[in-house]
Amino acid sequence: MAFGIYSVNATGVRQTQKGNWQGVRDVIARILLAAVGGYAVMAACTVLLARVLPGQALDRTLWATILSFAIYAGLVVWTFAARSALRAGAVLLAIGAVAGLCAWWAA
Amino acid sequence: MSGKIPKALGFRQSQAGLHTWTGLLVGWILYLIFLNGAVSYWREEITRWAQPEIGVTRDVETVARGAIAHLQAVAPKATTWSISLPDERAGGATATFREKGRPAPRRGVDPNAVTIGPDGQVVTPRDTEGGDAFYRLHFDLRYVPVIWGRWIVGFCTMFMLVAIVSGVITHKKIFADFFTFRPGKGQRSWLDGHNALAVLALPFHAMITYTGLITLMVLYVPWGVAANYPSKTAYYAQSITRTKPVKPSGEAAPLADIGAVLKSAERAWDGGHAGLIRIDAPNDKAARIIVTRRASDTLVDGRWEIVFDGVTGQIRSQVAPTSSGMIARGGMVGLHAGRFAPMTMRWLFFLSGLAGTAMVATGLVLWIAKRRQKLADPARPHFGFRLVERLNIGTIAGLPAAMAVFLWANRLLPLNLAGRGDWEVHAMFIAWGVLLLHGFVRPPRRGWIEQLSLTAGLLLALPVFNIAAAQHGLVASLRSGDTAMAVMDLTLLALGAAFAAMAVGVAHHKPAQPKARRAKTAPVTPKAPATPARKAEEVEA
Repeated sequence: MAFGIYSVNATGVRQTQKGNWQGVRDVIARILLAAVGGYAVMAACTVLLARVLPGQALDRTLWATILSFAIYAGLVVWTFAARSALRAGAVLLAIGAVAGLCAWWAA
Repeated sequence: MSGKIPKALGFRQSQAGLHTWTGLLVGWILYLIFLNGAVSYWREEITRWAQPEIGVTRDVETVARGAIAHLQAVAPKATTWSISLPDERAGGATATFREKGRPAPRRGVDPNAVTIGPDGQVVTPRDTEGGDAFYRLHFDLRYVPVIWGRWIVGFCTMFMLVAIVSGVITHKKIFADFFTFRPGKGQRSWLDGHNALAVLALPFHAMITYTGLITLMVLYVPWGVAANYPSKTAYYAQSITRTKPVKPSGEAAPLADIGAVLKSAERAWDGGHAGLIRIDAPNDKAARIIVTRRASDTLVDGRWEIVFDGVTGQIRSQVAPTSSGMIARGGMVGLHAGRFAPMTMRWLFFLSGLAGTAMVATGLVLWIAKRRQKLADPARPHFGFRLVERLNIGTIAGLPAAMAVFLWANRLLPLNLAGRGDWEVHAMFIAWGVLLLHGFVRPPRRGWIEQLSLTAGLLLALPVFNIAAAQHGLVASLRSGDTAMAVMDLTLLALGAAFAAMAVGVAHHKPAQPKARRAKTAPVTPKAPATPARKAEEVEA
């Protein structure tokens, strides 16, 4: 299974041609969501943290940036663990929107 | 339903897939990053090895005095003098100056810079990047614009971070895995080896990956800066505080004694050392001597600075990192680069780095081992399989050989060759290109044996050549008490022996698959039943 991230074989379910294609599409969707969407949501969270963390501007900036990679890693892992790509996209969008609005409000 | 993960697969399986595919995508570049990063813990030693014209520094004050004497002679009226002093591991100092109205030269092409040897005299070492070649390759790559290189490296590092997290999740029995090694069992052994190497140095891998991202964090994630500063320049103005240059008064005055200034700095830093000396308006009444602390003095990669009056030698002002964010960042960067690390810890960093290199290598081989048994026709593997298998040879065995070629070029290229330093690097990459090609044209098993043997031969012969051809061989190093250079030669021997052992291991390995395309190169012993586990033994290296 060349792209079998979710090789259904593991469950003993036989995979049809169509099912395989859908699986590939699902994986590609997740890769894009994780790389692009995850990065955007991380950026929103970083801006938010850089504005709301305590301390001076330099410290807030640095701490937010230091934490950003942990946030990104968490988002990527979660995108691949979510039940479906659609669900992953919806939740990413929700987190990003909330973080972005809060960051905008905190500016 | 296939658009969704069946619930039975669960979190761990999803992470296993993520781990395999992200790992493969960036594996070869990560191997390069890990290997060159590990080697870069000996950056100073390699530079010194590459420039046998310069001996080891015994007394920093002599070097500083020599540098000042040189600058007095060639540029007494310069705007600024700069001297970078060596620590115990490094060779010579660099002295340079800047004259009024001339912009700062770009890095690496400073016509004013000279090297001051341990005796305080100007020396002309051979043109070489030395250890910096590996150090730069580690995060800038080569032959691509630096920014691209850094983005590619950052991308791979982020993958590595995700691979670590997903790897930990995948291996539920992570500590049991660490104590499990089943040798001689093909795919199973590669998996065990991969797990053991990963878990053995897991704290190191996690630390080095995260702190690696931190070293270039503002490039990768500029959004925190964007949230609080109007521009990156404004951010840098606040984060990197530079002592402003002074205006010369026009009235001549003798420069304070540099020895006294260095001692005073040492006292102010509780025994710390000067790393950089900047002298503004030398030989003027308004002269300032700005001394920056040696990077290897502290864990935190930060700016400790003392400004001295250039005539009286009195301390005018001091700077030390105070911002918690700067200290956190500096601590992580310091941990990554290990400049602070004393010898024992440096060896542990190096060996952990090699364990990481081996972890990436075993992961790449494991990908092949796992899929070999499932091939429909082992004599004609599909394109993806062949591509990965061949790239593995040219990278895992080929890159170390190419790095050894760099060291050979350092010894063999004519000293007066124009652009010699660049040609050393070109030699490394030409060799690597040839070896990648070689991996594609030779049968895989032969490819592995030949390239591993080549790496072993290149590494083993270097110290021998040093003894025979130069006065800087092992014997001379031991006699003159230059332990670092002796150890470098011995390490090359040890690494060569390790590659030789791998080559012998592959050569003696008997593939158990009767129908394998390499059946004719090695006699098949049909004793063992060809279970899937046995079949996987075919994997070399």
